[in-house]
Amino acid sequence: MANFFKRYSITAVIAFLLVAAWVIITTYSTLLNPVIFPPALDIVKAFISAVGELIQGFFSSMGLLIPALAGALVTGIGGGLYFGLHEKGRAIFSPFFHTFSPLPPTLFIPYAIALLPTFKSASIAILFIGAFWPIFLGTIQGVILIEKHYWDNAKTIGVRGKDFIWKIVLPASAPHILSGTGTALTLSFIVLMMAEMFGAQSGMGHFIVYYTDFSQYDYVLAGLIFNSIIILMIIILFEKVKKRMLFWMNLKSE
Amino acid sequence: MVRLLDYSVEKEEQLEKLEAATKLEAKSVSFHYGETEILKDIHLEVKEGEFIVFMGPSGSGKSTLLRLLAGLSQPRSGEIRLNHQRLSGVSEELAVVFQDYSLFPWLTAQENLVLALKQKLKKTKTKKEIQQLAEEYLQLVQLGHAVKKYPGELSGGMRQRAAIARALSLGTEIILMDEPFGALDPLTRIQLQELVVAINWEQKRTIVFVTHDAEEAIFLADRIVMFSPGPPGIIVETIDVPFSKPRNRKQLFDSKEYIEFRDYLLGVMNKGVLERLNQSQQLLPGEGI
Amino acid sequence: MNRNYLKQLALGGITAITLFGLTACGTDKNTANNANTSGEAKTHSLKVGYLKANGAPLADIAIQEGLFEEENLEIEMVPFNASTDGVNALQSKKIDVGLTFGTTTPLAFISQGADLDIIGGHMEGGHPIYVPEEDKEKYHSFEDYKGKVIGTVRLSVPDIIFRSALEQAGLDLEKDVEIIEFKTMANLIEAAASRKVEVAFAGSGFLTKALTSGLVPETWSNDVQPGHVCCRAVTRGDYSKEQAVAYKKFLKGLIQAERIKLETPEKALEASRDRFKLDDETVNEIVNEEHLINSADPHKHQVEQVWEQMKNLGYVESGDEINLNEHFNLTFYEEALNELIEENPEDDYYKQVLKRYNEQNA
Repeated sequence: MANFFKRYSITAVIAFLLVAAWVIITTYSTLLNPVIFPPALDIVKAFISAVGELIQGFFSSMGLLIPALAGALVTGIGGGLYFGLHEKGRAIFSPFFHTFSPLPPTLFIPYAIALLPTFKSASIAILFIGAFWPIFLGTIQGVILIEKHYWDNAKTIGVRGKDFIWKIVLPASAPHILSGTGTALTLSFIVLMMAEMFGAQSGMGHFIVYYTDFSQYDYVLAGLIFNSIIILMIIILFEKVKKRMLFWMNLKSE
Repeated sequence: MVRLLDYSVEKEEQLEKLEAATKLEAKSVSFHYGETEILKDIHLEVKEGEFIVFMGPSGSGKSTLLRLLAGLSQPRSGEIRLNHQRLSGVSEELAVVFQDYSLFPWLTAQENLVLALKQKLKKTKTKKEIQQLAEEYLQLVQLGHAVKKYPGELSGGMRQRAAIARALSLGTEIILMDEPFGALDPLTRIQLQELVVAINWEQKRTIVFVTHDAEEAIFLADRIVMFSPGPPGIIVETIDVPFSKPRNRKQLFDSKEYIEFRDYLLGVMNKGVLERLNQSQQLLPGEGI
Repeated sequence: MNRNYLKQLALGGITAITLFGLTACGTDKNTANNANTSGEAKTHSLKVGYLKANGAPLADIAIQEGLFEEENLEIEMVPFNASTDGVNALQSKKIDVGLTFGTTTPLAFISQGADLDIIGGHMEGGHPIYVPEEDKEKYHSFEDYKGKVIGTVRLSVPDIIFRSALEQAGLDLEKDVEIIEFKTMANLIEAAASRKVEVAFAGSGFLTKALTSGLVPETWSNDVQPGHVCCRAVTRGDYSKEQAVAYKKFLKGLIQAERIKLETPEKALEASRDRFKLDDETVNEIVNEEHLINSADPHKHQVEQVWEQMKNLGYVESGDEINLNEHFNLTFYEEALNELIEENPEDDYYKQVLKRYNEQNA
């Protein structure tokens, strides 16, 4: 714990200075437009009055994010393994991957609404699209970049089938899969703003976009702070999981 | 040691019947890497029960030939024959020990062995029996205390012991070893040399072993195959080691014959190296400035 | 999302119960219906899409006052951030009515061949032109905007009304003014507040924000083009008999809500408070600002004018191939109004509404 404080002490000082600068500039100067630079106290007030809505938003966003990410993990890793291992298929389909992966998920909103039965499923689909590509492409890259040593080694002991995938290919490509998943995770909080643009009455993205539309920047900033805290916690948690899964990369011999 | 392996005992009996049969063969093999010719017109026969060492400087193609013998690469021309059958891929009858990557770092020593054993024994043995067997093989190489350890937690010597245990556990007649002790400290190296000699001698496994260390080659080998510095690598000479087995390290290394033989061996190798140097100097006149 | 799910469950449950009820004692109910014209046993349901920024004041009032319940009409309100998403959802049958997607977005879709019908209205007027307080005296007519940097949100109603006014004042939109387009009204207000534009063709609902930023309304869209339409109630061109009944009931609720809002504006604030989750002052400004008129009347004439203006401004290119007349379906509104007159024979209000309807749509 002491270590933790030591490591992040400078980070905390920087954060404190940023907040202090905001307080000073917005409270004691008329330099900036008060609408988009609301005084810090207003943000705190907005945070307190909206905290219930923010927490409700957290739960409804998780209701979209969790199934979307779960789907993206299963299909992204599954598909990534397939195309990583099959060079021919990869050659045929990679132009599609390059065409579709950079498209903003917003583009798919009308199609998702038209093709899927409910607004919730359409929102999940938008999030899914955002999260799928980094995981999928990360997995393909992970498989392609597996060291030749591992292949040779696997070949000489004749590993096949399920063991081949679970005991060799997945762990060997795990660093890239997990880094793709990390990207997907951060990205999905951005996509959340798009995914909650229809049908959603609450949500972390909805909150920001909604109050931006009314120029209620004290609320927007309160929402941003709330979201940042959530994202930070999720990322820290994810890094922990990642470290545990990749434990074998940091082992020390006795 | 032998008691552990019912099937290797059976093979031992066969061995007596077909003494000194050719197990593994390279017939006018050549190999290219892109435009570069790595190996040229290689002829080689590995006899049953033999301990054969490939020796030569780096880049002479000795490790490449081992990969070809293992079926991990295919020759551009010529062929590899295993038990008189053309080899077209990896074979279950061969086990390989690599320099430092025979173990998957995300699996414990035991899991590494289990993974290999499972592929052969899935149908005949239960999971528990396979685990038991893996543990016994690790004990055999004095790693009983480290069965649950990950490769990252083991020293280089311990990792190679585990790798050897895995190769042994596969029960193949032939074990190919690619500079397996190259990264080890001298003492550990000596211990492991004793181990592989014992494996060859007591378990009658045929071993093909790559090294560039003359001392190691002489101590281990029945026959040393000398490679010229490539590319392209060619076999300059195949030399029978004139010392009977089992060998006593101290006596051997103190003997005059050993020193003479080692000098001869180094002479053969250095001759090739020097020729090579002269060649490149002739090819690039004046470029040394 | 949980709430939505529960809502769906509840809705499904209610329909199931009603269906069951009908098969069990259907005939009795039918005879009862013949005696009483106002109450029908069958429950209809509609999904009504609205834009979060606009809210849906009339629908909110009707919900709060139980006007839809009286008609056995279940309403599910579906929010959107972008009107194009809303109209797309309408086209793909995910919602049944688009209530506050503006006039221009549905018209733009119609110009692209979308099978949409305008069946009623929701809002008229209410859009200001903001200028910095210190410049207020500079402007007296649209000609005074010559040479100015003007901010607008392309294809919004104020954009069309005020651009048309500029053209009418003889200004060349290409040469005489510099027009900067913004994605949202909020962005436009911010740009005007930081004096990045000199004039803002803004939308309703930002008055307090604008005033705090030192901006004042120079003129209002109502003054420029009296009675101009804003949000229209839109449906698909193909609809079932069931939906036809539901639409009529829906408009009936809106017409009554319009009256409630007119007579007691406080109720509008109360009804929309939960919808917006903003402070009362802001909500009141959005629903009760004096230039903003809520009316359920389809106001065909003004829709046609906006259509012509869109064509003139080049926003609608294939406009001549489209017969806009085919995209009005006024029968629901007429039926709703006639029912209200029949049910309230003594009430003069609905006769006035009918008179207005005849003037604005005939």
